[in-house]
Amino acid sequence: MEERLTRLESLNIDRETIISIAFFAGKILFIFGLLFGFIAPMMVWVERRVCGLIQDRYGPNRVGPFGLLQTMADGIKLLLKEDLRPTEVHPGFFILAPILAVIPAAMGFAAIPFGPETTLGGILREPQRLQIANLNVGFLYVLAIGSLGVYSVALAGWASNNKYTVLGALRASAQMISYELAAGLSIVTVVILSGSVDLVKIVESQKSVWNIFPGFLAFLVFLPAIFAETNRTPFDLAESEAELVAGFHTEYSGMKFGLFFLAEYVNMATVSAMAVLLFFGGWELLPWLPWAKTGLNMDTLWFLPTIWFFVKLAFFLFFFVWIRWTVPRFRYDQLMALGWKTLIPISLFNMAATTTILVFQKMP
Amino acid sequence: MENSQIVFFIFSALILVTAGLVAFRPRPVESAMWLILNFFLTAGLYVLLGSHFVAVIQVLVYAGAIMVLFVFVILLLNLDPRELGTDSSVSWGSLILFVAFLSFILLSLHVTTPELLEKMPPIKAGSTFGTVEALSKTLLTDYIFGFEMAGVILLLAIMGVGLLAYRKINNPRIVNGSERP
Repeated sequence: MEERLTRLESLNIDRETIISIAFFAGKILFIFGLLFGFIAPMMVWVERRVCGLIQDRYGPNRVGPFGLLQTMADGIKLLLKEDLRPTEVHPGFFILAPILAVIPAAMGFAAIPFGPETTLGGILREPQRLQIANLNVGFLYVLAIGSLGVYSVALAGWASNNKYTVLGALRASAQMISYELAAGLSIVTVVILSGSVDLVKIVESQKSVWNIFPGFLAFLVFLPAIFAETNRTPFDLAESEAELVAGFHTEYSGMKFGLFFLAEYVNMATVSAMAVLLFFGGWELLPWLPWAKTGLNMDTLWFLPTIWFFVKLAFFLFFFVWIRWTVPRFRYDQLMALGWKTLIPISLFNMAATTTILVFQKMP
Repeated sequence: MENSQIVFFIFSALILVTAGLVAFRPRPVESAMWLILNFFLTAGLYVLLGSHFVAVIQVLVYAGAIMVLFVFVILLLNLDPRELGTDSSVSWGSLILFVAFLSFILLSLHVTTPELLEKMPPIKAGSTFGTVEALSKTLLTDYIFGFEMAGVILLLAIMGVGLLAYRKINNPRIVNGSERP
């Protein structure tokens, strides 16, 4: 009897371990499967269909229902294409650049929480975070990893040994340094409002009021900054095909080009997630109605906030596409003037004003 | 040997190797890339010490901002490889001087470290050491003077750069940023 009990206990512990390992592996598989297997391919299709809609034409509609399989066909084409390498390129960095585009893009999303602490409807013994890596530095990690994306562009431009690619790389590095400051300063305002750098705690602080209301000015700075950070129109000066052929990726083809393409969409997903978490209440239902007040049993319906979070994320991804086909590209001096002379002063002023108001509010 | 010690030795060895590559690679861009890897490995050492904030700031400031500027300048200069030459530009004299200086520093560290370690307050298990909250509280209470002074010095540096850059615009020979022929 005694022996059987100890064996049962050891089995019991094993079960706990297996569940926690499965939970961890499940989170990783879910996030990366969703990012690389669903969001990125779907976004390519959405981009082309929305472009067609805005320009009053069809867009891809032949491969599969509504042209949904078009991306898959394109992906197969990119994979099977000959791996071209122009003769005068730097052999190491030419290959390294697309890899450096994808790795930080994937790493950044690892610190994004996608739901409140949950027991998965009673499967886990204690509530755990729906986040791959729980770091106490919070959003700073996402910023730090995001700032590394510029190396892939700079290296791609330099290694290609082509004047257009070098110009594209130069533009990208200047642009990314400039707008990183504005984005960082506007996030600092949110951190001051919420009182934490932890993204989960920032979301929890928005239960009654979303940060978009007290931090509207910060959002106005954050929005153009994330467009510039991800090199999207109206700030895609690094590729601007009218002047620079295709900018930094002129010499790339096949899957190497595909990796740059993939990284762009994954980066868009990461910054959209940041926008949702910092300003739009994360997974909370509505500005005046958090999940806790709906009367639903959140222990059994634990997946609803996560789904709602990804719905908000999808809206921001759509917003990126919408802007791309609506707003024309900026001129380079306009871009720099907007970054340094408008956005950074506004965010500095906003930070000082927010701090002052909060200090006076907390004074007895 | 503990696991963290093994990781420490792997990281330190890689830091030394990458630092050597920074110094001896012929092309500036390659040196810059090795330096970025070096910063990452150093950040890894900070994580081993439990200071996650310093590690993230190391990556954010050095790898994410300062090195981008370095790479930017290298791209702007676009040096001709023939001008640079293929051999490394480090002369034997400076190498010997460097090694001598380095061994002096290491020797003095070896002598003083045990004494310094005794003076250090012990870190309690489960403390908030290294977190953003703990670090900012220390900075803004115990070290407020040094912290504010660093801020003022940085502000002065920014103003100095602004002054130097602004003077050129007042030059009547320069129109729209480029000099008249």
